[in-house]
Amino acid sequence: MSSAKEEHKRPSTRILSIGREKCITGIEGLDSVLGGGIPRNNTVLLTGNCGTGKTSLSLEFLLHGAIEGENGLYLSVTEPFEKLIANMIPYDFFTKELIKTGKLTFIDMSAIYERFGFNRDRMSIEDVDLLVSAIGDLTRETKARRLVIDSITSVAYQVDSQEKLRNLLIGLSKALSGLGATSLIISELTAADASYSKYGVEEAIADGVILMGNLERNGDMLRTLQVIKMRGTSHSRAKYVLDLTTAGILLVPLLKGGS
Amino acid sequence: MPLTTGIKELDGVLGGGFVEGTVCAIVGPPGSGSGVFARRFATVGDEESYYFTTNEGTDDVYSSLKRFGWSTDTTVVDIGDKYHDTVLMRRLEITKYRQEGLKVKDVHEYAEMTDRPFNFLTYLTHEIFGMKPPFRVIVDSLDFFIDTYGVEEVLSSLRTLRAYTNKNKSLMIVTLTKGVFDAKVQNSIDALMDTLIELERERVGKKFESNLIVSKVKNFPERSRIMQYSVGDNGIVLMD
Repeated sequence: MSSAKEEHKRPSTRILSIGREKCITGIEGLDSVLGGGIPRNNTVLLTGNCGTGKTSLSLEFLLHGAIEGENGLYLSVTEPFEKLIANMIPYDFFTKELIKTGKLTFIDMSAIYERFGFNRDRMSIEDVDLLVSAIGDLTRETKARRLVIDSITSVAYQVDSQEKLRNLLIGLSKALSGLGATSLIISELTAADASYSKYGVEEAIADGVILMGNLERNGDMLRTLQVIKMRGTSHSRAKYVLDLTTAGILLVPLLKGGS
Repeated sequence: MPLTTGIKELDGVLGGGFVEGTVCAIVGPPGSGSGVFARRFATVGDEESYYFTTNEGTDDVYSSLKRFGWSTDTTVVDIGDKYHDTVLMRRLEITKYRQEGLKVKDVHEYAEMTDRPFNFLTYLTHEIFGMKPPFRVIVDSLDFFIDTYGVEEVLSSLRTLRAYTNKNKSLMIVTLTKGVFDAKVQNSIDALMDTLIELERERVGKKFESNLIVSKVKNFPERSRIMQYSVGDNGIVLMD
């Protein structure tokens, strides 16, 4: 008992596994911040301004899973798959084999909209339900255990009321965790947004919120990451600095000094 | 030079026929024979003739021309068929996906499709712009375009086509079903027409009495007239 307490006191480089079973993100530093990983079946809002590394982080989350044998599903609204792959950091561990063998599946959400004949600027309640069940079906079919939606903000543009957006998020979160998928839902923020999400409802419904941002220091723009909330685990709430490398994302504590 | 209507009595009323470079609408209730008039107007004159049909097949148009013994020297463009292939089939597909759900394959297949969205109004306008003037073009009927794209878009296309017809000393004839659209829509279309022919059908005892009303001839208000007509195997018969 006393040794556990001591361990809690001093910062440890060893990954602590506390609470529920974890989905190991494979991102260096993030798993230890999260006390071992994202609690399984959690729906996590990954939120931040543009250029903060949300897409890179979520792709890496899927890649690590795929390599470890957990299928991943990437639903993109903003970018077609080819462009996404072309712009992706040339990770040392990425091979097209992962896509060919079905470990990774990319879905262009606009194709879902077209298949269902959604009205571009106003989805009905029924459309929202259809979208949720389609994402559920695709998750089931691909046996995905990790899922990324890039981004919920783009989906929400088509949803014209808070109530429908709420339905969409609650439905998604229920469906996905019911299927045993751990999900990252990307939310795009602008500098003017005062909360963690564009519409304010996303953060309340998510099981976790990871905030990514920019920080200017000595004329340098640093990418930062902060776990604001994560149900099912104890985690650090400190701000970390993100480094995007071809070996993957590195997370290091933000030093308080001015160096 | 007026452009003949193919009906002697009507030519007489109109001062020899339609004025060159004008647009005419035939407006009548269902069953009044507006399509028959449209076909008559399509198959006379020396201009290159085109017949856009939205609710009949190409064969239907030709067989009815033969029935009346009229020339079949017109190019029939079947919009209804194209509509069926692109829009209706797609709707059917949407229903299927909505009912049965989506598979990864369905989504990926869609992403690979390169079909551009097809707009029939754009298609119609584009086709007409490609015609060698002078032409005589019939659109039977405008209902389809208003239903599909709304009156504003149709009006804007009609304005363009009217200017084009006028410039090329050609002729454009559209049909419109009476009583389908509200008065505002009807009036805005009427206002755009150079010639307006309305068809009316009344029951008198055990018979129908059909009237053709030339209700507008631009710049020639004195040419307005009401005439009786009948449609039979000999074609159209007009009586003053």
